[in-house]
Amino acid sequence: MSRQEIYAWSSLATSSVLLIFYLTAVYGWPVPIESSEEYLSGILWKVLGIAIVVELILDTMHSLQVGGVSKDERDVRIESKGYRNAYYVLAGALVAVMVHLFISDMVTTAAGQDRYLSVPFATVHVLLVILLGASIIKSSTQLYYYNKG
Amino acid sequence: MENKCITNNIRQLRFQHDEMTQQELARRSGVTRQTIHAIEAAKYGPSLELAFRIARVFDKRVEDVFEFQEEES
Repeated sequence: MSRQEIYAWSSLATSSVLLIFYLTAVYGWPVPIESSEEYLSGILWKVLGIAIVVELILDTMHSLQVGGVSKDERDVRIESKGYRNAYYVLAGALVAVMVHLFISDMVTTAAGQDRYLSVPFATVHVLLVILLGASIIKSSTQLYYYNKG
Repeated sequence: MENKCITNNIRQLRFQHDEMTQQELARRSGVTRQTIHAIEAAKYGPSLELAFRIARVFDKRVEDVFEFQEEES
């Protein structure tokens, strides 16, 4: 497994846990959150801790490796595919949010209320979730191409 | 990433050069071992620059290492 592939796994794990943790914090948990909070926090810190340890190990290995390469043209090409897919997700989400705001504004106007452009607070949450989702898409795309060959 | 129309003789050339390992070829051509493996398996088509670098390691011309096969339509 190359260094960039390990980075992709590390990024995927961190983003996934952050997304789950964030969704749980914002939208709630089927069981009382108090009983799961410690467990969820534990997962978050463990994943972040593992990501830092992996980074330190990789840096140590890289400094010991004489003449080795950590990132080459194939890594760059795979990374660019990851960024491309993440961009599609972000662009699609942006259009969806704009359409939502437009319709929301139309409904407000049709109801005879004062016309004003407002950004519902839920939209901010959705955008943050989309941001984390885009990060997951990027890492997943990278891992797909690394496994493909 | 798959590039079946470009085949190569890297594996054969490695063995002709004192059974050079993929790691050694990767080091000498400035890429990772995984990239050499992907090129050998014809799953990744290298850039022209990398193709020249690999050919230079074996002291060969690019067309002696890589071969382009026209796809039948």
